[in-house]
Amino acid sequence: MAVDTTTIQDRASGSLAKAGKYLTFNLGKEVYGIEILKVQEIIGMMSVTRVPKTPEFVRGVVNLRGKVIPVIDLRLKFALEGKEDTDRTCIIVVQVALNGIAVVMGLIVDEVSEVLNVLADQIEASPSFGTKVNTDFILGMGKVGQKVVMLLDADKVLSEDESLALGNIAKVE
Amino acid sequence: MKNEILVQIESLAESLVLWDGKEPASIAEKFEAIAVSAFGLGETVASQTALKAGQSWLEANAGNRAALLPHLGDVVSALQDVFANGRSAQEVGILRSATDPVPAGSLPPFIDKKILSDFLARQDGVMEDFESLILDWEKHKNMDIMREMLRLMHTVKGESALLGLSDVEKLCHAVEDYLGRSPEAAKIDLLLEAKDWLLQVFRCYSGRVESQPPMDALWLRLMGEIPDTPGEECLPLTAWSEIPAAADKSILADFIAESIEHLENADLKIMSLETDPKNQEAMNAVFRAFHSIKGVAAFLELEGIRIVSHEVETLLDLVRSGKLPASGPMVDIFLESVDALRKMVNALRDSANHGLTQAHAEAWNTLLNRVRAAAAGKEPTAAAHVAHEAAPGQRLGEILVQAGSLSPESMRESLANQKNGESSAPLGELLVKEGKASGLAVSQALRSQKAVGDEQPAAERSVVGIKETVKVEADRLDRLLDAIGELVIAESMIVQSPELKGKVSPMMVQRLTHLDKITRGLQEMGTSLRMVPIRPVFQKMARLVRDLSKKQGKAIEFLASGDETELDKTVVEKIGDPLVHMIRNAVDHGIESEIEKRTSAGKPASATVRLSAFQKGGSICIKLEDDGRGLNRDAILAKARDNGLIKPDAVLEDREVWQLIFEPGFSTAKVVTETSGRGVGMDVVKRNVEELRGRIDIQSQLGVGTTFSIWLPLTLAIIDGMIVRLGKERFIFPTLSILRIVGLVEEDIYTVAGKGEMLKIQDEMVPLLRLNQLYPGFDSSGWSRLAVIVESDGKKLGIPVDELLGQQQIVIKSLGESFKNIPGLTGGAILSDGNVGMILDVDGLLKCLNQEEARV
Repeated sequence: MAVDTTTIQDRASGSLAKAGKYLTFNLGKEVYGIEILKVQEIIGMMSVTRVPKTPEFVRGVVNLRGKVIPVIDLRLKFALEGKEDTDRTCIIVVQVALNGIAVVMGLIVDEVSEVLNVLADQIEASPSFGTKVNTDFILGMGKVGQKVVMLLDADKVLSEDESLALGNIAKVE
Repeated sequence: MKNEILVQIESLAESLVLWDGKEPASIAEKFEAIAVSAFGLGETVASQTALKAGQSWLEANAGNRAALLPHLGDVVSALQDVFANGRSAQEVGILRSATDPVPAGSLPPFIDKKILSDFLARQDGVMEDFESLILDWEKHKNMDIMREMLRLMHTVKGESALLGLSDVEKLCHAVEDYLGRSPEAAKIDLLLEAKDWLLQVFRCYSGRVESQPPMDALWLRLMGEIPDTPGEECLPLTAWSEIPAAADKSILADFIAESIEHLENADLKIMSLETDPKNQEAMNAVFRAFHSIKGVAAFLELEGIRIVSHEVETLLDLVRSGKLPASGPMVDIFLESVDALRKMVNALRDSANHGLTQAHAEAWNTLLNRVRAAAAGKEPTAAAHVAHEAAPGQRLGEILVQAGSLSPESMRESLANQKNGESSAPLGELLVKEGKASGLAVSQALRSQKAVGDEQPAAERSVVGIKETVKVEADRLDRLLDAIGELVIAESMIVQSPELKGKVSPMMVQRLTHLDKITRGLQEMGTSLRMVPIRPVFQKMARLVRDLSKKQGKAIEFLASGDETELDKTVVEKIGDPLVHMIRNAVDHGIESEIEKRTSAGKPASATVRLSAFQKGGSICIKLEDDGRGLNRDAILAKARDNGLIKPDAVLEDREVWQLIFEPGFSTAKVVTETSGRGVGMDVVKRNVEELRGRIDIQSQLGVGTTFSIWLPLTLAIIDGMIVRLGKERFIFPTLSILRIVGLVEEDIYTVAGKGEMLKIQDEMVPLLRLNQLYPGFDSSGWSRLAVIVESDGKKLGIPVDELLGQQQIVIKSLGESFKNIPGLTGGAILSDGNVGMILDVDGLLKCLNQEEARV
């Protein structure tokens, strides 16, 4: 096991997921985890105001206690099929660094499941699918019991280009 | 005889260091003895000084004596300078330090604190009135104004007499006399000086400023005892450190704070230059820092600071243009200059020359020469030996050893003694007691230690407070406002909830109404917290124009309007700097220096500079107009081509040409003058305005004048909004930009080339912009029956909407970094149901329309 970890570290060159607590949530059949320290709160679905001239995965903005924050539909972001909201749909409010600026935003997920403690030896490097699937935002895969959890790098869910594209899409057009 | 007095001084220095809070008389006696000896030696000035110092020591009460100590230390070292080094008393500045003592807090003991604090709290306003009266008088010479001025002075005099503020009373009386003698001949500058003095003294009494300015010279001039002309060249030391009496103290305070910030910034940037000499950004930042300091210093007539920053700027310019290399020694010179400036600025803060000595002045003169030599192309020289000074955080022992007043062995010995608990006295005291160092050396070292760590809080003084203000982090204020906003929404959701409708008792209704009233009150208060009128900034500018025009001998009338316009506090604070630069430019370059040029162009001989502020739509506009010579399009273009900013064959619109003047290092001035010409000022302006997320428009006509308009967003401001519905979405128009709302009938719509739609309203054709076309995916629910007609900059635009939902006061919220650049939107607002609505930006929509047209 110990040998394994070192090779992983070499391969992933520092982008390896840290052991610790992860909030897991579901998108369809897939299970994802996000570092608990990045999560600010979880709120139920609320009415979202659309913002024009933004990519499809940007659902719009919501009023989080007086603050206007963007919300992103993770299904659409990961190119999964869109789905009607249910009463289990939630928004995970995360604080991430976009280009070095701390930004609070919401991620719409199908449902939140639990908080998992992932140990160092349960983490494997993110799989590589070549160019077909962009796995930059996946830190690694956690295998806890029977489950396989994809551990997300919240800072990279919106890659640099895309986070800029949100605002500058207008310029490009 | 001479040796005797030196021994006396030594012994005095010793007893000052060792003073234990008791027996003040012994110290006073020593002063007296020195006074007698000094008189015997023919040094009358020194003798008087010593006598006065002894008296002030004896008269001060126990609490004030501690505050007096450093002051007396100065006197002692000045005396030492006179008798040991043979300097003349005037040169050492001994007379000054004796005659402007007033460790503040020398308030008469019988004062009623409450009456006094009320009185002081009012004086800022009174002095503002006085200043505007003085300026009015200068313009109109109307006897009513003169009478008003006299009344005001008389009131202040009466009140201060009642309170026992005899110095204020004395000066007010002198001003009254002065005005009464010959109102017509009253010199405006002198009056302004008197006003500044009064303001400073009031601030001193209320504990906001450290020291009280000297009055005697001013008083004598008012009383006509000495001719009213400012002195010629100052003595070397005073040139570096003296604050001109004419300087506006509030501007000065701002200057000090800003300069320290600028210098800190410059420090960092210079250091980054060392590692990366080609870093243009850092170079420009350093440039801006020095330029800003120079500008204000010149205005405040702070000779030393102005000269140093001017010379350094010259040097920087040479380095920036690549004529000189940014070598290590060069960087050293810049860093040393920053340090020197910082010291000068710090010295301004406590204004009484604290910590400044002849050695400083000499060191600075050398520095200045080195800067000049470097600018002349000579290899930068290493720092000459600078007189010994303490480094920050240095211990007393270290300073003494370094200065050669103490051997390292004896220091270690004393320290060991102190540690072993043999004596609990401070080191300095111990050293003197054990005879290892002279009292004078210790007191000097202590002072140099203190001068360096000069941020130390001043000794406690008995001053009265004026109206308390609390500094709150802007961030907290924002959170408070957010919370209030939430409360308002929650409240309206409860009051308007359908469950409650018709079911509540009259009692409940009453309570809900009460709740409603409180929330509204809170909301109003909350939103007003951050808003302040722009008046103080405008007043400063009035003074600036006046002083500049006097200095340059140009007749200029300054008109201000809209100074009651309220702006976010941070905006008001930040807008001052750019305005200073712009006004300096307007007066310096804009207004013609020869009256003939104006009259021959058919303009009145007296030029006009007009500053106005107003709110328009979702923005605040600050406009600066002058009727000077205007921008020279050809000269700017030629210069830009020279600099390679534009291609030689580029064809530019006027607007684009004017924007060129904001480029760093861009100037068409052929000569670099004291005030301007290097092309830094406008760069500062642009930076600051952009920081506030604003923009600057320029309109100019050669020979007619120039208008600068600064447009600033009302980030935190409340605006009246009209909420409309289009399809499922709700949008908000700023009510101020709505011209009218009309019904939309198909017969009135005419298409151009099958695409662009025009709406005919009466006899006017207005272009239509459909939001669902601009924003794909935002569908209208069928035929929009209404059109909102908006206007900006004289251009009209119709926007079809489905329904009007009503008007509401809204707080503009930013949509965040990620949604910054969406065309046609300024931000979001939280509507009464808790949802977010998009606020439309009429200017942006008009721009979108132009782009669409371009595409058609």
